[in-house]
Amino acid sequence: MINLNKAWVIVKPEIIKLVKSYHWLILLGVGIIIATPFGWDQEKLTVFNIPLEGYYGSRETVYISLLHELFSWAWIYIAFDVLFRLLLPLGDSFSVSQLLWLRLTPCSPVDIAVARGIWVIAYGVLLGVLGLIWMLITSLYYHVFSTNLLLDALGLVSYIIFAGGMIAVLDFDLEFDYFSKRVIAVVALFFPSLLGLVKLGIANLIHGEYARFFPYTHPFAMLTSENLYHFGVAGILGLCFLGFHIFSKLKYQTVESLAILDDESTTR
Amino acid sequence: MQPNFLTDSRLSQQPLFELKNVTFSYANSQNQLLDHVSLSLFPGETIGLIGENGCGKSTIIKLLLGLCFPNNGTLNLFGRKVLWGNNYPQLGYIGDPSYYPGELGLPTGILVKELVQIFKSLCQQEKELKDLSYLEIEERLQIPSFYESDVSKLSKGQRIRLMAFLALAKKPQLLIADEATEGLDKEGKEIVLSEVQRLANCHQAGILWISHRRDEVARLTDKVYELFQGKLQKQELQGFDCQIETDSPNTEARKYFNLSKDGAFQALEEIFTDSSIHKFQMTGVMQKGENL
Repeated sequence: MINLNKAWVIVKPEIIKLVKSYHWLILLGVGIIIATPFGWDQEKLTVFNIPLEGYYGSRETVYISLLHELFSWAWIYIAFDVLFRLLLPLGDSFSVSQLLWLRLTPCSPVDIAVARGIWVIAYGVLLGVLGLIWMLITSLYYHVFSTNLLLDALGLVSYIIFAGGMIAVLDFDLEFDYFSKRVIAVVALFFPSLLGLVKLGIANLIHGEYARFFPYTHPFAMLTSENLYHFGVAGILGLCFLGFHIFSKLKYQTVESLAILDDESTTR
Repeated sequence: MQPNFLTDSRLSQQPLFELKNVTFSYANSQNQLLDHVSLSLFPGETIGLIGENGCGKSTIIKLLLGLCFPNNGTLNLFGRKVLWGNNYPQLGYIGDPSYYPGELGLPTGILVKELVQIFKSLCQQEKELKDLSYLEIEERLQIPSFYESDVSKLSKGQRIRLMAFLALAKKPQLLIADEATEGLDKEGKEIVLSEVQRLANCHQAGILWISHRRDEVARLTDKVYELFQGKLQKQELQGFDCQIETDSPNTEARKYFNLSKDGAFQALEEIFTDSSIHKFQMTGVMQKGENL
């Protein structure tokens, strides 16, 4: 049976570290500052009144492209940050060092798996919320708003949950050594984006109707409704991976004492 | 934590762990480390395991922790097959599993106080462990003195103290310790040994104590086994006919027949707490039924 209280106790230090980190606030602040020096001279996008080439279209279209591009750069930075702060530690959470002592405390294998799930989801949600705040502030600043911009925030959340879910579902157990775990964490970092390339490669093989359910998520993706499906499916798949990881632990148990050892010896 | 639907007599018949005809060799080695080893430990029993370096003592611990699996034979812990995926809150462990290089028995990237807090919070959610007082043992092991340190930065002695706290504070039914006093100073060693003795005496815990130090094994355990060339051999604890002479004007030379190791400790304790004694001599002859 899942004990959410125990799962929370296990994951709490990681969540506190995540929420209390000034790193994210600095990133948000820098992101907002970088997005502010742009202007519109009736025809072109400018930065400090210097015209910027490469942005064409109406004022709204240009600003949306600009915000999308800035968000995508931030996404790349965040992805590498996620590698060091989430994916590598998540892989390490299967190591003997991290797990042995916890196995000898009054919690269940499922509680530990739920804690991993909470950790990944909390990470994704926090960065998604920060992305939304950035979108909201910059959109209001430039008086533009497009629901398509929300796709970027969704993509980032899906990205984190998909990559984290991948590591959880692989369940390193005792099979992988320290180096292998690190390699897999790096693969997980690039995998959601690589799937975008795979989709391009096999586009002709997948029936059109189902092609939009092919999971991938990466920065600089077009802000189209089609990508809403790709990002959404990637996120749902990541959640399924986490769910499977938790479900797979149900076969293990907390061996409390001699009392539960065999049914024959009980005189209940 | 003891069940109330099993009678005590039935319970005591169940071993805390049991190795039956276990053979084991590492995948990349032709050397059979354990050759049809059988060993079981019942509640209240204390077993010492001695042997040369690399003879396979720690491998038995790894098998019990689920880090390795026997090639043949059966291995049960609390009556169930040992699996790495299972959790064992009634098992206390002090040692260094050395599974992969650099991997220790404690997590990294966390402060000691955070680790202790998680441990206490998890224990406090259990009805049976809710009212445990951790303060005394925490103070005795001087854990608060390195609360602010990262667990990965602890010295070996501090790490052993922390492991001893995690293992002993929950009053486990079974304690397995592998060179548990390595790296400890004299005071730390004494604290850990006395806490283990307290656990054995007050809580009837089963203890498997692995050490190359025969004095520790003799102090803590009732049965001693030696692992030699993959086989487990029981060491008979000998009795000695002893004579102790002191320079105390109050006491005459004392003679003890078939003195056990506990008795020898007791006799020595009496000498060491008697301020009138400045010099003593102890001689012993293996017991053969003849008086000194």
